Amino acid sequence: MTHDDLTSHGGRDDLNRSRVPESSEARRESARDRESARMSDREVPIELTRTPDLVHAWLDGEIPESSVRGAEAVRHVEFWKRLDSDLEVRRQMHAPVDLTERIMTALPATAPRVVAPWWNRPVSMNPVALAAATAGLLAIGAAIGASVRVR
Amino acid sequence: MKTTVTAAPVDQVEADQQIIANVLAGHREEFSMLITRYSDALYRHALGMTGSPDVAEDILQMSFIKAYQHLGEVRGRFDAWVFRIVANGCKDWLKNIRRTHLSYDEDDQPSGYATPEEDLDRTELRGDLDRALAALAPSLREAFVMKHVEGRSYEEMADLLGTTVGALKMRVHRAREALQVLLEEKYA
Repeated sequence: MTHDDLTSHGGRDDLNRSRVPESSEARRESARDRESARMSDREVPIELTRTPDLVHAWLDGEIPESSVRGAEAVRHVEFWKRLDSDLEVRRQMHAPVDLTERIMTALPATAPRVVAPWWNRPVSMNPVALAAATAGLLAIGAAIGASVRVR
Repeated sequence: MKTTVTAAPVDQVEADQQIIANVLAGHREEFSMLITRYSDALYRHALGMTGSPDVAEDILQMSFIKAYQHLGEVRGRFDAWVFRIVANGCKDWLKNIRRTHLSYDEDDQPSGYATPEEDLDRTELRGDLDRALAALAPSLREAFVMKHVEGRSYEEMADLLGTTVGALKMRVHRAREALQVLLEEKYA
């Protein structure tokens, strides 16, 4: 069985249950409820059918239909060919003709913000800040030089 | 089974980047070219994931507005970037909506079948497939729709979803087997 669990508690429904001891009948009923709830969440049973690898390969476009042999495989091929008649309709679907116009009407009036990468952004500094930054860098350089000389 | 290749060629990627530069320079109207270029493929994805034309349109509208607002942040391929916005929009919608049944609005889809009986059969198959797709876990549905409705290669899917080809093959195979379980009795 497969389903995406979208709950934050891992799909368990008993986290907020009371801790009061239950009778054996109540426990059985509670277990049945939990099982029933789990089953209703499980929307698609898996492992009930096994599509032959050759059929998957044909569906993936890796081999031609003529390479798929055997009665069981042919049954799968017929099923997928029938389904493909509807998938083909879906492949031909188009967005509504007026969608572009509707989206353009709904766009905000303000122009999109241009975001330059950090290495490409203009830097502005006043002379005092520039002098302070230069002095700081010189001090760091001098400190590193002094430590190298000591060694 | 038929597949269609939808990856944007190199010259189209460059054309997209030129359009983006123009939009950022103030030519707002050029954004419509990007919408027109990619809306069909993105609509098919949203429709396959949600099963509802109205929801698919809403997701596309919100996604393109978001794309416009953040257009200055695009690095690399626009089509891959906007796909991820739409795919995330679909996943958010699936998280927020506990759906029991939604199907294509029959009035929205044109009928191209020869006879009323054939039309009825096709409509029934469409509804059954919708319900079966809706029963799949979102990650399996996403992989199946990208492979069989959008016609993408596994390599392109891996690129767009940030996962491996092997993992996606596994998801598609599991989705096929689950769909076959759900539909086999009626359509085998």
